[in-house]
Amino acid sequence: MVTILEAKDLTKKFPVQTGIFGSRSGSSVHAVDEVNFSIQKGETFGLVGESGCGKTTVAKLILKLLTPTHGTVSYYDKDIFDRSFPTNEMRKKIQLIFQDPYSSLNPRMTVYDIIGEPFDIHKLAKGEEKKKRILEMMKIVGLAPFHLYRYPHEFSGGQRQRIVIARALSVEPEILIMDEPVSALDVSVRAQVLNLLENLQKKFHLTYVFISHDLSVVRHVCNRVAVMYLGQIVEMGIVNEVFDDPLHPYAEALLCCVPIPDPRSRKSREILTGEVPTPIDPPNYCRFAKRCKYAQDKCYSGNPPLTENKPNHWVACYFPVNKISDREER
Amino acid sequence: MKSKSTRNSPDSSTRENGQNNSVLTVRGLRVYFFTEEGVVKAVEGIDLDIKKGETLGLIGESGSGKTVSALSLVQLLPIPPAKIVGGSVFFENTDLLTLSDKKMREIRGGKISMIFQDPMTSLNPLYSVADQIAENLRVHRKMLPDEATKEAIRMMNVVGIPDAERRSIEYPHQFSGGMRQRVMIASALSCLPALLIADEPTTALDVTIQAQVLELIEELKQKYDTAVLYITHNFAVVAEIADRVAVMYAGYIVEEGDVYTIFENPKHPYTIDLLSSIPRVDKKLSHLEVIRGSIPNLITPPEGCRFHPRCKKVMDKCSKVVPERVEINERHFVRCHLY
Repeated sequence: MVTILEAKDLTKKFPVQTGIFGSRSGSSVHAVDEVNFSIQKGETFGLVGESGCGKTTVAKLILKLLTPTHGTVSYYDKDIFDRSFPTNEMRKKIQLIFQDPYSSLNPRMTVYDIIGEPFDIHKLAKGEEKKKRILEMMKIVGLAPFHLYRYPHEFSGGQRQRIVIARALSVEPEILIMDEPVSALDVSVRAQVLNLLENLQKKFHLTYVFISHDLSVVRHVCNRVAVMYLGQIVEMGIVNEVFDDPLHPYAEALLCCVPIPDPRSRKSREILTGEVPTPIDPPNYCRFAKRCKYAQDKCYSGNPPLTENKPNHWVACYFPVNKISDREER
Repeated sequence: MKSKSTRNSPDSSTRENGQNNSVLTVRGLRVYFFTEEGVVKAVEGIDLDIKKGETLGLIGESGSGKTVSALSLVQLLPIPPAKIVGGSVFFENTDLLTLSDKKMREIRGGKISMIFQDPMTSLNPLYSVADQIAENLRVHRKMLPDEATKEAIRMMNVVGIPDAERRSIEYPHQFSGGMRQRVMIASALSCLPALLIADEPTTALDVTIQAQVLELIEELKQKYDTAVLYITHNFAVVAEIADRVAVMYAGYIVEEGDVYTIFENPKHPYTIDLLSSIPRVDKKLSHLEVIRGSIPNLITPPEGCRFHPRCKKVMDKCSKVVPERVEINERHFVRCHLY
């Protein structure tokens, strides 16, 4: 296994500005706080969590669209924030797919212009060669050749997302960062796009970073998953292990809240009370302690580090949920 | 257990709904939009029955006509371009479609109330939340201002807004999304409606907050015996909350039945494929079923069955004749030529 992307102590704080002139108040939003993970070549790594947990900020840091407060991201062991790092080369290798295909396509550009633009920017092809490659990309994502000179408004949501995917793939990237790629799509179209992404991964040996709040979709597409809460990774591991035997009380509660499309699985579940607190100046103890039903004194004494509880299954909790002993108690 | 009263003998007569405790009976409702590009046939003759204390999940993709149906029940559609071209909506033995605006206003917010997807746009930013809940009570239950405010605060407690007394003078922007939705629910239930129409009330919320809101709706439904029309595109939410399910596609209800029948023994090809195309959180599916193509344009919908261009079991007849609504089992209706 080759590590393709690695984040070390990745932290991003945004200063809170107050007043008309935006004077700094000294507080800051801890959007991403000491996040560590590594992504292997060819895998699908999921980042999940509720809104405001920092998953999109992580994506922006990986893409070098934001500079971290401290910590690093390395791409093949090279620090991407280093001055000598070839950013343009990396931008070709790491591509991005956004949630909303309605706002990520320029309405004044035809499909030809949209998919062709990366060829111009990276000076990969022009003229007939460019057109040939655009048509090839369109075929790969399932668009017909007669779509070439159409505008985005002439397409449905699913087709637009195919255009976005074709644009991302046109420069032969290694990594696709996907921020809620199917959340805006209808149910019947979502499966088409998910299956397409799966086939493309096999065909081009792509590495996916899949960001979503939809845990059902994450379970379907990801190999490994990291659960985020208030800017920190609280649990990380193989998707089946994390989803079947969550160790962190937050992961357990989150998974319990996801409805299952089966009326017989309806159960009176323990619902997490309260809401995600503000990420402005979070406490220096476990950020979940106040909502946690297992919280003890120790939880208020310090911030639990992310440690390997079982092989390849990491958790940031002093008292991880142990399913087996729980069952015995009952 | 779900209430057994939902298993009454089928009753297709519209006017005798007093006997079978139907709160709402819709027959042949058709809603068209007359636009410059042409006539959008958004709702093409739907039939619905909701009984007291029953939750009907109306499920469909975007553009299937679920919201238009709901809005036309309470006459909230913009007319023009919309026009209700046919059908009847019986609510407590009166046809809502024949009522005057004034009469309709008395029912809306009182006996029938609604919750929408985005609580921020349905709450007035210039009034405190208690004032907004109290307004409802003053208008519909003729309460005096003090009494109404007191009742508003009580309702805020009922829906689980912590520290309700203090927060009652706050404004919508001071509330989080989940709490705003609770304010909406408090307002909607303050007049003890016979029917609650909830249009995607949890779609904008995070899963943990969604679970809280779903539980709240269920709890209040039990408490007040309210009938609920729950509109969503999410099958998992329907499985969680509905007693009966109606699946909409391109303006038609293609299948309707109780929640167990729809999930365990679906008959319409659209329902079958849709159910096997959704990923699940509790187990990994080896393969997601794909429905080819996308939702049709309703200005020029496909002839015959509107699902036929995407259907795997399409026959010659499907592109020519609109399938009738047939009852294949007790209270299990399908619109498909296969049956």
